Amino acid sequence: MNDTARAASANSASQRRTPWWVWTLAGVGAAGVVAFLVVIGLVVVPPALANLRTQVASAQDPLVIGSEAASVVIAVPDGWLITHPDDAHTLIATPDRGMIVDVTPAAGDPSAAAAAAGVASPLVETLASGLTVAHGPPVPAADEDAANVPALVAAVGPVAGGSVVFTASSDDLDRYRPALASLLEGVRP
Amino acid sequence: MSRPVIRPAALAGVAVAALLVSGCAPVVDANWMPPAWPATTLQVIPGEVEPLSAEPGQPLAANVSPERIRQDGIGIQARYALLPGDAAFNDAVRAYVRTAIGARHDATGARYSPQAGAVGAGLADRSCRPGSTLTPAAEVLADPALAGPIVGGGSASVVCDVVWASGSVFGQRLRTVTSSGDGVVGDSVETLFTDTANGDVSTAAQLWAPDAAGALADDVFEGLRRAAGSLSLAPLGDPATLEQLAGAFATTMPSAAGGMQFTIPAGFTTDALTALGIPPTDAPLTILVPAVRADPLLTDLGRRVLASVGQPYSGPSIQNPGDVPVDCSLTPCVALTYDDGPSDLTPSMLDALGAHRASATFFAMGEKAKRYAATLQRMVAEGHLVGNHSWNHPSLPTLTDAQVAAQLGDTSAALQAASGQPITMFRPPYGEYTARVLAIARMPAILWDVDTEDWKGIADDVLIERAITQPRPGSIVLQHDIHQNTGRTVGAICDGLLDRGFTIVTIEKLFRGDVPTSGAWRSAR
Repeated sequence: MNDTARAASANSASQRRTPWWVWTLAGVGAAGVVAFLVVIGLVVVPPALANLRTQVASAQDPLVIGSEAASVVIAVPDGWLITHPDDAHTLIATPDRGMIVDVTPAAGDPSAAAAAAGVASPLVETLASGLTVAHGPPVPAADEDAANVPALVAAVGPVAGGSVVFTASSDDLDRYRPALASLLEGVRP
Repeated sequence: MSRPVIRPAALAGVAVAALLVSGCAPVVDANWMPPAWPATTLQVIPGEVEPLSAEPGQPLAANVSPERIRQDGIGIQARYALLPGDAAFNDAVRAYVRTAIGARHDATGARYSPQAGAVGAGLADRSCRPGSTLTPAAEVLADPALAGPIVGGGSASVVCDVVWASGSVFGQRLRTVTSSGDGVVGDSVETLFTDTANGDVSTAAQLWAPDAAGALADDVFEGLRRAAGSLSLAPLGDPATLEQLAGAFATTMPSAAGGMQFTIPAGFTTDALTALGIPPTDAPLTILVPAVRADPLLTDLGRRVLASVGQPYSGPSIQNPGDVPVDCSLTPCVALTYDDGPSDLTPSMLDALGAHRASATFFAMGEKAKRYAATLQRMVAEGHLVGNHSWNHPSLPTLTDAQVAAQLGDTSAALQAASGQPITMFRPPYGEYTARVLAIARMPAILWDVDTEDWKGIADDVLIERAITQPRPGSIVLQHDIHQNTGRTVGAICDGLLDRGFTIVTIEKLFRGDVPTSGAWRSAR
């Protein structure tokens, strides 16, 4: 046997001697990597993708909702967060996300729109903008969990197409009522 | 053969990509603070402020003299509280009551004079009924303990609440509810404050400087609209109805937590609020003005009231019967008089009188002055009155001029020396006098119109019944502080007279401080 043949024989012997636990560690490591990727995929990616659809409101870029034929301009306070989960809804959140408001266009005057949204006896008042707002807490349906009912519904109008309905949810709405008021005043006639 | 490994660089790449993706999203600003309503210096609190209490047995009861009158001629019942030694405050309270009396006089044509109730009338319960200035008017009129008797189809009820007692400041809210055949026709409230340290008195509304209503109006109306749930930021404009706010100022009182507060009644609204769609208030609301906001808008007394928050009440208390403020033109008065003493019984009788806040007049004998000097001094110190009953109880008409002069003159000198009080009236022994005696005495002779005949050794219950049932307003009751039955029955007699609504006073107060200087008098009527 020459030297080359001896070396090949030695390498072959060395590979045969790789211990079992090396392979075990390699398997565990591979599983960890897979788990890491799964976690990334489940935890980070969905909200990250949702956030990619969120914009920060600014005075230079007012929100426009509704169809082209009946669009409504809403000046959302600077720094608030605007998300478009689908074509029919726009979600507006305060910068701390302490209050989230679902904004949708609606047919009819504010009183009718508020009633349609479940407000039994809305308080109807005049906004500084000159528009009318009808608002009140919605009455939960008989089979509805009261905990899931939005804190307040406010319909502002008249605007193109009728009214804009703001459905506000917050764990502490009293604290956010002035913020909601500033949002309602942002509806352009 | 290659190893089945993922390169660390690839792993890092995935992580960085994830972070970059999430980092592109807007960050939640947990430190962001929601805006506040404009002009939120005031606080709107549902409901009205509960008054304090000055009921018997409570500490504050030692500081007030509760009064109650009921008069069937004009149809009025009134409860109010007076303070010892604060004439200005008491005058203001009485003036309020007299206004209600005047209105009933106008309505009925009848004249007011103090009236005592029947035996067992229950008029010893005189304290302000806590909360009675807040209860619905119909409930006041339905409560026999508060409602005035119906005369000519109508009545008036004056009720009271002690609303403040802190530092040297005392406050009382008075309310008049009037009725006719149509039910409640009037319901007005006034709160009076006094600084007992110097006698300054003011209505609650007058605690505010003249420009306070204008300065607070915007804030108040802003607070009201928010309390109603308003979401509008529309300006309220210039409120044209400031007098409505000035009316609410009449309910002003300090807050125990600091600041001043007043109550907006149910049904309150203004043109500006109506124009914005805000409905009238559906329940009373309390407006709390923080101290720092209120202070520059208050008068001097108002600032003292504000500064009294949190202090224990330091106003005067009623230590002795003489501290009780009395006005016998408003309340029915009766004078208990005791002859022939002092005696060893007298101190316990003074104890009983003191426990009932009852003042009496003691027609003492000159020969006992020195021996009972301490008792005489105690009488004067506690607000009772000492009169002259001769030296040793002779029938004065049977004496010579000189003897009459000596009997009365020596006695007055001895009593004044022992008690320290000038002697200004006398009671002739046996009630016997002549014009000659009166001329020599140069003092009024005070007789009686109710003789209990306690000196005949009658049973206690008979004595009590006579002393309670026979007096009328202005009566003078004759007894003797040398008989056991008299000594035993002082408390029961006081109870009975107080229950009829009487105030038990000295002869001097029975005559409203204006005792005649001559003549003989059987009553103050």
